[in-house]
Amino acid sequence: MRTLVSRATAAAIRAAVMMALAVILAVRYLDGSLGYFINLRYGWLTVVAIASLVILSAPLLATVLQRRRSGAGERVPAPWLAGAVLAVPVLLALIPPRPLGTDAMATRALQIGSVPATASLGVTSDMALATSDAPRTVLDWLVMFDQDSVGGGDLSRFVGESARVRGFVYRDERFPAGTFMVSRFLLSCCAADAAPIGLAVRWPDADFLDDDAWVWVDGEFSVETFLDERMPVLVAGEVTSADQPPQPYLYY
Amino acid sequence: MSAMSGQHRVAELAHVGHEAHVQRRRRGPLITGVALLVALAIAVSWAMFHTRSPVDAAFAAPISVPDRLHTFITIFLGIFIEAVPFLLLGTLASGFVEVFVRPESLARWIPRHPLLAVLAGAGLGIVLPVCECGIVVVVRRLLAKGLPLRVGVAFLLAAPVVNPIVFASTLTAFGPGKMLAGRFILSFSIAALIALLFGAARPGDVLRDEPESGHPHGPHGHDHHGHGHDHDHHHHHHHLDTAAATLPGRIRAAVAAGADDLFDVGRYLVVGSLIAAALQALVPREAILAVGGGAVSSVMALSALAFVISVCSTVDAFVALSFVGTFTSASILAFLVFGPMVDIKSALMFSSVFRPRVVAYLIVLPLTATLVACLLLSTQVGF
Repeated sequence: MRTLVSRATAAAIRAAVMMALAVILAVRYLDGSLGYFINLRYGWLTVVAIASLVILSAPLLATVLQRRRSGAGERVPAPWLAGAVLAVPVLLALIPPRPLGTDAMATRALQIGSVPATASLGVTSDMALATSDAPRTVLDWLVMFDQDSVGGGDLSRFVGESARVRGFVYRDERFPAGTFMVSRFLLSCCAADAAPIGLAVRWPDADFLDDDAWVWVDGEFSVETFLDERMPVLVAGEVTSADQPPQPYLYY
Repeated sequence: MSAMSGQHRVAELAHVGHEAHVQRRRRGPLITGVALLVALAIAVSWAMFHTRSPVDAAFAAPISVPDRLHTFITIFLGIFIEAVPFLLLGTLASGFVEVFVRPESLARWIPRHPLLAVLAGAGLGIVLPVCECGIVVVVRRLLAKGLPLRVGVAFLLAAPVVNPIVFASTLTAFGPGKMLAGRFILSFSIAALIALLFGAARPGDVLRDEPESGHPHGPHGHDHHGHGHDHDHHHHHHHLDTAAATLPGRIRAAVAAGADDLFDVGRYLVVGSLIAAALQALVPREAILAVGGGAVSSVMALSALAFVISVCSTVDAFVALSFVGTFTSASILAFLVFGPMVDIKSALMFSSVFRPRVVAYLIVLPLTATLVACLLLSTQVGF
């Protein structure tokens, strides 16, 4: 059952898998799609991984070269199984990457009109304030709503305030006609902990929008009851199609 | 200079000379390393000058992947890419343990008294910060070197939490308070307690005697002291045999041993991440969390969630933050204590070290201890 191969062949199999992994990680790091999988704050760890893979495969390649020359005859079990299993992430990473979208929402609790409890912690300190010239994100708005509620406000100060936010379209069977959610995923570490957030949007043509389509929504807030909760709802004046942002997720 | 290179050439020409053999062996990894880096640089710069990477261009047309599968792939790669650097650093550390740590010195460092030894093991993460993805390879190697089982288990279970990095991330997320204190005290105590239980076990009954790659390892005797020299003869040593006892030779042996570990343990990481991702893509999180209203059920729900989502211990505090308000403090504590000790991917990696029955103990014991401790804290102390 277990095939025996020369030491050099075994080393070659392992080195090939490790180098393939290093190369695909480097490609994903450089084309920016690494951000579809993990919080780019931890991108340096991927660089560490690439460097480690290079270091780990160097002696194996040296073995390949030396054994070929010396023709040493020791036979070892072929690392086919382990090699094949470790090749799985390489093969899956070859598939053109896509960030999480509405499909992933089916298995996650939606946060419409509010943020997951204290995601606001990290945001208020380094995001909402720092990017005052850029349009506010879905997260920025949600954090402001939460702070207002926590401070005893009734959200009325947002009525009539205009907003321009970008996100992808999400709807499910609970949504009344003419509404959708402009959504983003909120990430702490990696796609495994992604939490969907979004603002409720009222727009007459909402039903013509495709799920997962990236849009800019321009409008004004009004405070209404949506899915049995009172929350600021963005009444859209205009919804235009948008490019997917280079970093599709928001971080906290 | 010319005299030197002349000498060099003579040595090279005297092909059979041992000197030349060592010389070439020593330079081999360096040259290959440089060659690898160059190859990588070329591949990478090629990728850089394509706005759409050539890899994608090649695969985009023929592959059309359904949405659910894409969700699965993205989550899998998220878990794997986040975890693999830690596994790789762990394998490098383990390689260096293999080559540079002598069993005798290990026996000398570890306190003789079982309780002190266990406490030392549980606190080892403070000086050797390894998270859950890297810890298994290091512990495996240390056990093979004759580290007493109870110390290894204490280190294995405690280190993913009891280390400076996780301290910093928990402090950032929760601030100095009961959650920080509770997490560290509980993780340390539970690890030490379970390790003491393992003190009675014989390593031969607990450890797998042969990994699938065919390198026997692990203590074969029942007494784990005084037989360390044994191991020098029969495990991951193929590079040690031949490499000269020079520093470069030993570094090369260390790296080679690390590569062995990557393949022995890495496949469990892959399989664990695949299972975790499949569960996430298919099972609604509400199905787990809906259980979580009451004092008892919320502790169980978040323990289960910690096991399933398999987030790295260095950042799980931020994930736990999102449960504040919805779940009881005790249940969040359970998430922070149990998750790093055991989750799907680490449980699978345990199988590269321990017999299946023992892996089951290593899941059930920490789970029971965490549940009991967190429930007591919430009902008796009002945590």
